[in-house]
Amino acid sequence: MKSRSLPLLLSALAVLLLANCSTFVAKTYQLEQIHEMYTTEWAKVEVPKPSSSPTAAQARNPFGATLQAIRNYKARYGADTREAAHLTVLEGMIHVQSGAAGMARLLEPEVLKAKDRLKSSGGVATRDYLFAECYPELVDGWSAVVGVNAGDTSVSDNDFLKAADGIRGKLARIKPEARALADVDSGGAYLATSAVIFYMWADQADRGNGPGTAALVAKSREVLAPWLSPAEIAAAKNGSSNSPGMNWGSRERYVDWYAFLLKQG
Amino acid sequence: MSLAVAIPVAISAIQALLKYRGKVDEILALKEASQEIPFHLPPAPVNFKEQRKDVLKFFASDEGRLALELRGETAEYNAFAADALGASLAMKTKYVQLYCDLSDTSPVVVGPEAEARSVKASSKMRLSYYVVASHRLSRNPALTRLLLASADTLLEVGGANAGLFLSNPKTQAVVSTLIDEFAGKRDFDDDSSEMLLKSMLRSVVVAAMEHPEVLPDRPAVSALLGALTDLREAKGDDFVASIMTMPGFQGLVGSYLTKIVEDPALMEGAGEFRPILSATLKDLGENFEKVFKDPKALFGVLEVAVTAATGQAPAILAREINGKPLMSAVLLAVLKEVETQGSQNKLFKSAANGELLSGLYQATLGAVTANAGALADEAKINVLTATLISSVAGVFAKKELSDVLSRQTLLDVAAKSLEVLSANSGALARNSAFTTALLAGVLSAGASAIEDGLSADDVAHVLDTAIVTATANLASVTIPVPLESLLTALGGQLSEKGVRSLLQPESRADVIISTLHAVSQNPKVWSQFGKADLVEPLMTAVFAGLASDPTSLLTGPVMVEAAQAVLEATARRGWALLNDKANADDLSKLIKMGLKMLDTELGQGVDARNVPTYLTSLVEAYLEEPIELASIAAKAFRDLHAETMKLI
Repeated sequence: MKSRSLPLLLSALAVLLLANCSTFVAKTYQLEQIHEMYTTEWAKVEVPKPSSSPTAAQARNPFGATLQAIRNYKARYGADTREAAHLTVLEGMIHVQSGAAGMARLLEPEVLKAKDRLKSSGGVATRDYLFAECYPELVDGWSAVVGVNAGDTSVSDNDFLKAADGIRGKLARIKPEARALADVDSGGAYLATSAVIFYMWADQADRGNGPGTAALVAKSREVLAPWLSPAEIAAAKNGSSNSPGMNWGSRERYVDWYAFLLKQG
Repeated sequence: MSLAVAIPVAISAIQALLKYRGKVDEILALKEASQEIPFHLPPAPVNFKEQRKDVLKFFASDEGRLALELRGETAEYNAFAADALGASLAMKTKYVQLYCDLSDTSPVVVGPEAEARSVKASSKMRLSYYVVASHRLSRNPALTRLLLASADTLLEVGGANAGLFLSNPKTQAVVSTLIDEFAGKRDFDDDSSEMLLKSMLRSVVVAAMEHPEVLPDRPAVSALLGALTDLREAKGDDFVASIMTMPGFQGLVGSYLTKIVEDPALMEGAGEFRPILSATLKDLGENFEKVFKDPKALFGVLEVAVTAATGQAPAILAREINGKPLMSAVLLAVLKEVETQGSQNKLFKSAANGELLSGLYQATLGAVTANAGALADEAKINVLTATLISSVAGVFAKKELSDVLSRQTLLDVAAKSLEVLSANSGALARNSAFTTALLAGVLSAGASAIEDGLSADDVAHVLDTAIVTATANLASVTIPVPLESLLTALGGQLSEKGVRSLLQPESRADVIISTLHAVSQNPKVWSQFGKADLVEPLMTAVFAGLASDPTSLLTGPVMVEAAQAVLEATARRGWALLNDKANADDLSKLIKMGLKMLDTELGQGVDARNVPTYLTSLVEAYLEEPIELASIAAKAFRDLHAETMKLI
């Protein structure tokens, strides 16, 4: 027969443990704080523009607080949980977006290791899983962009083609049943659009012996279309932003890129 | 997808989750890990192909060549220009950028036009442009999300007491109803369900924690939850969310939570009150947006509704008027009439919201339910509503009130008056025209007193007493005594400087009551006075006469007694006035002369105690046999005075 005191003891123990926590759901709270910190710092970061060197702000590591918070979280709650895996990917993407190619490459093995913990319970390839899967190519592509903007004449169209083709191939290998619905997960659309942008870099970097604009545009359409919904594709054919009543929010930029590609003939 | 388990099982699961809070944290942390967060796309390249000709043309010009020379880049540029298409992308980008800097133009960038219109909008919209959504990492079916949402909310609000809250049978019953309404009968698969559930649960927990000792076994809040669920079906989640996010909603939940339900049939599940609430909210949202969006008005009305419902038999509530529940039909009649009166009276229109509106509803509903047999049909409800509301609106239109009282004071007085009418629903129901005329008259009469500080509570007391007094004698109600004009005339006198200086505001209020007492002693004669247009002249005569008092005895309670006595005597011998044997001016003169005589005899058997009796006897004697009132020295008057003095 169960003791009546056992539930009371467990409750008391829970209360005692929780007495040391700032909230009753401490891990969740810490994660929320990290996301908030990241969003705030992200809003202040300038994406590397053409002919610009990394700014002083970027040199000072604009995501300092977020990165510190991520390290603290992993130290406190462990680095082998699924939330920690998500944070590892976020860390990598922080370095990618701030043009810190070196740091981004340094993190590559950890990001690839994190990938295994990032598929959903139902086997869906989530945003973070896809980011981790295509991480090396993202790093390659962004590094090439940063290189060109910094005046590195050794960067060629092949650097961009390698990144774009790599992403295209990996995305194509994601089985349809593992793809999330467009209105639920935008990881695939983000990566496909990144590949499109790398193809456009390749086109501009072409010195005369590349595949040609038409071929690159065709590849671009091919990589992006599967990650847009039928309604989004229809809207892109109509000119995207002109589609009445449509409010894409975070999907707008992918639809706009597809509309642009359609206009290239 | 509806819930896969019975509600009691869900409650037990939530209790278990509360017990093992660490597990809750893990599950919620995993959920947080798949929140959408912003990411930039890689920057797009400069379109060298499109701008190549412009670049080459520029640097072939004098300006361009000079710029290159100054920068020491002529040789490098020439090497680039020799085979621009074959140059590295870094060089192409460099010279496009240099060209743009020197020619003050922007580089053409490959890709769609500069970031969408949303980027130019608020920072929130800009952020939403960049976020990348993620599928959940854990498979959380609707049931799990429901349990987690409930546990999370209970922990957030209840803290260490969350478990106890759910173990308490009373609060557990409310939570069960909430889950049943918001999840058991509907899909819980969308975010709005979760948000609404959490918001409602939060309100319930806070309200329950504010009133822990008075939670009844059958709270009315179940009907509120049910009505909100019905509205989700009919009007959508946003409609319901707009109600739940109004200031004051928490208070409403608290009020419904502590209302004890006498008859469970009224409130539970298929009870009568739930469709009434649903219909009321729906009608307000569709037809009276201004009221619907005013939290004080909306929640005031809903509180009135639940108070009325818990005091009534289901048979009354179940009545329908033109297909609408009685309570809704009355409310709509009130709102329509308020709009009508508001269009004619700006001051009333600005005041007729919040507290006043719920007061009007309460008074009208009280009257209808007090006499449902006679009043529960559309035409009669409309008559009652029009009578009551035009009377209240009239308060705001009366110059003697609106000229001297602030808007807020008028509002307070009107609100208190409506409380009195609600407490006298029977009187209002039986004769609304009489009762509302009394209201208007009392307020007119009391204007100077209110201006001089008589509180709204005091006014309410006067009105309450007035109603009781006036209706105690049924004849006063049925015989057409011009009460409103009588009291208005009285008010005119009470605001005269002479009378005002003799009576504090409270005493002026007493004069109003005593006047009504006097009228109720002889309603038929006062009715005849009204027909003969004698009311105002007589009121003027009596009070002008009393105010002339040189004895300084007629102040405060003595004045009140004297006024009542003289008015009663005037009516007792009213035949003389009605048949032109005497007139109001004579009456005034008589009282003045009498008081002058008394002044000469102070200390010879005259004091405050017997002045009212003297005046009564004097007036009666005079009206019985009118004499010429030449002067106080005249023999006829002296004889009259002497006879009167024998009687005191």
